[in-house]
Amino acid sequence: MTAELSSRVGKDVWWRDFADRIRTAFNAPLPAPVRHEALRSLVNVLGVGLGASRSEEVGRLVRLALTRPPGSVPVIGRTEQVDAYQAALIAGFAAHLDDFDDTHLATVIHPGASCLGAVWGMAGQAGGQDHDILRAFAIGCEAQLRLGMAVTPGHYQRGWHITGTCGVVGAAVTSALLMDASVEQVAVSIRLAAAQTLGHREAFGTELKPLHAGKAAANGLVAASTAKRWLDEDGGLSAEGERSMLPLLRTLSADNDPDRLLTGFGEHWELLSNTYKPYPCGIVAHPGIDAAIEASGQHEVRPDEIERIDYECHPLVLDLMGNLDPETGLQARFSAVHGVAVGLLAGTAGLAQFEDESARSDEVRSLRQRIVLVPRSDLNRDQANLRIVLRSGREVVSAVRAARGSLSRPLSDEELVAKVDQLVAPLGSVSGIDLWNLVDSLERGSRWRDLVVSVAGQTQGSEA
Amino acid sequence: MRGPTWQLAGFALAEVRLPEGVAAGISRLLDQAADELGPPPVQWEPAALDGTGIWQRYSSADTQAEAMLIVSGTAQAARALVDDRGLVTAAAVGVETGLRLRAALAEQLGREGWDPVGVSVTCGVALAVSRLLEATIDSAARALSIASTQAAGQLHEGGTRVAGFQWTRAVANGIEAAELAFAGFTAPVTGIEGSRGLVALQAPGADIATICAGLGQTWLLGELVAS
Repeated sequence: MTAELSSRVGKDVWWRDFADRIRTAFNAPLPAPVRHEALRSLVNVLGVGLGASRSEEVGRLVRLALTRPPGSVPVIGRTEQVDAYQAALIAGFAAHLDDFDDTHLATVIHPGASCLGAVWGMAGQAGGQDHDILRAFAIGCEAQLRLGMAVTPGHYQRGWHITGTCGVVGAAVTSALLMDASVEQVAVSIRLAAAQTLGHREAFGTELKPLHAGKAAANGLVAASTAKRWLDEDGGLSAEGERSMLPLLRTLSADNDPDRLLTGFGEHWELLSNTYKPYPCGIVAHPGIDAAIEASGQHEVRPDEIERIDYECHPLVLDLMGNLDPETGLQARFSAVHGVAVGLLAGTAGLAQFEDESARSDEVRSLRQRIVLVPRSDLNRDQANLRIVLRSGREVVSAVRAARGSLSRPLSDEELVAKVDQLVAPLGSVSGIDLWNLVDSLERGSRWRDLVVSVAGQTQGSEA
Repeated sequence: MRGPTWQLAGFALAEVRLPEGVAAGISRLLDQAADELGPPPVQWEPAALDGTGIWQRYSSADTQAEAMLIVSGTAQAARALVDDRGLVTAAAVGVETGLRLRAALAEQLGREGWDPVGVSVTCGVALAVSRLLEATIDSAARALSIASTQAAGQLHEGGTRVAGFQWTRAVANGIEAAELAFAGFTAPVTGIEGSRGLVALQAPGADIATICAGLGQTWLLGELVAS
């Protein structure tokens, strides 16, 4: 970083300053702990995306994409080929469809999906940037998390879906870095990405929510491609001189903190605070599910004996997960009472427990109706208590002080690989450890294209 | 009573009788758009419209640019997806939608830093293309919600090359929103008025009731196309 750029930090935030930090970080190897977390993040989101790749929802997007002019990038987990824009859109969408991906708790960003979409769209094309993929993914995640931190908490609280609004910048950064972009190209890329920011939380509970992640990926890729074209043609925006990022930050949140965008970039990593979901639903419901599974296993609670359950939780649970009677699997992902009900009934809360059939089950619905959400401001987001009152008068209490998958109780590498293993098992061609090993060795010569081909191998002629 | 998202969708699909002179005015706009933005491409391409120069001639306050972008997007979709039958009426309801959103929200959008063109064009094109596709009201309402969740564009980019980029992306996003909804993509039908929808997040304080006041009876585009 130049002395001139450094001296301006704290006075204003310029697109070029942000780009300079990004490019500088990309020039160096990732610190070992950051590289490890980037590996975990990419393998996790890859598994989630592949797991959803045969779904009806992804199939619908693919059919629409196939009405466009042909492309050469395979769709994630499938044999159809589309252009880079559509490939990025579909991969980002698939990675967030099941709400099973990752969460940066401080911002509530799911950073992996849009950056995976960018990687899939860019690296799925013929090219030789494979050794840069993990770094480009990591720094794309970091850039969007920094932007998210700069507008947190006001932005999400107001009603924005921060995974879309900030994800587009992350995807632009990942795309640009995979083009080995200059500082100037990165700067124009993120500025064009910011012009396409998207995502209202009104969309929650519908397919539009994961589309935010998919569009963020595709829009980011368009931003980086356009920036490259402009620079190649006529120097891009260089004639304008430097411009401030502050107007952008103000549109995202009135109480923004621009210092959080740049200070310590490349030294302090927000990516290290990324977490991985053990259950496919909103993360604030996870401690309640933990408590339900624990009660199911340890206290032999029979559902028909339950008179009422007081579900004590952080107040945000009611705001984000307050659907009391979901009718579809997608809606069930925003229903804290559904998570507790299936946790008690099934002793687990995997994808099957968030299918339409489960959401409409009479047994699940009956139990959901007996659960009362009790907001408690003294509980953290990763804590919950269940007070289960039985018809006999007996009470069972199950309390969770730190949810599984939270920062203080993270999934181990083995647990994460096991999660991915389950997700990719239907593909029949790769395992969780295969994906881990391939991503882990990209810098040493393994090829992303081999991964793309191997996960598409069993889907010949498939039509979701 | 249903909110503006549903009402606008219903308006966009209803049998409409355009006020005198509007059809001719829309046709003139189509010609002007072809001259200034280039003819609609034969085959679908995202962001295929050329926004290179439009930012040099128009500002965010210019309804002419907005109308031209909407009719151009409608023409692009007509050529790529269906045919030119019904193009003028579809373009007219798209422009009217855009103008109504602008009239009701522009002040608040601007105060929040959002470019009104981005909002009007994305939403207007989404409904115009829904009409071309002969969508149901439910589909058109979902299209409008898919459009409104990505109705972006930074006001501070006015007068820069980025403004042209974000305007042409708004066209592409509007077409895509209509196609997604028509393909059965699920979305809320409250994208405009919902508690976490367009108005609440990007134009807080705006009077939502004015968006649809006199809808189908009074036309805001009459003055524009006559000018």
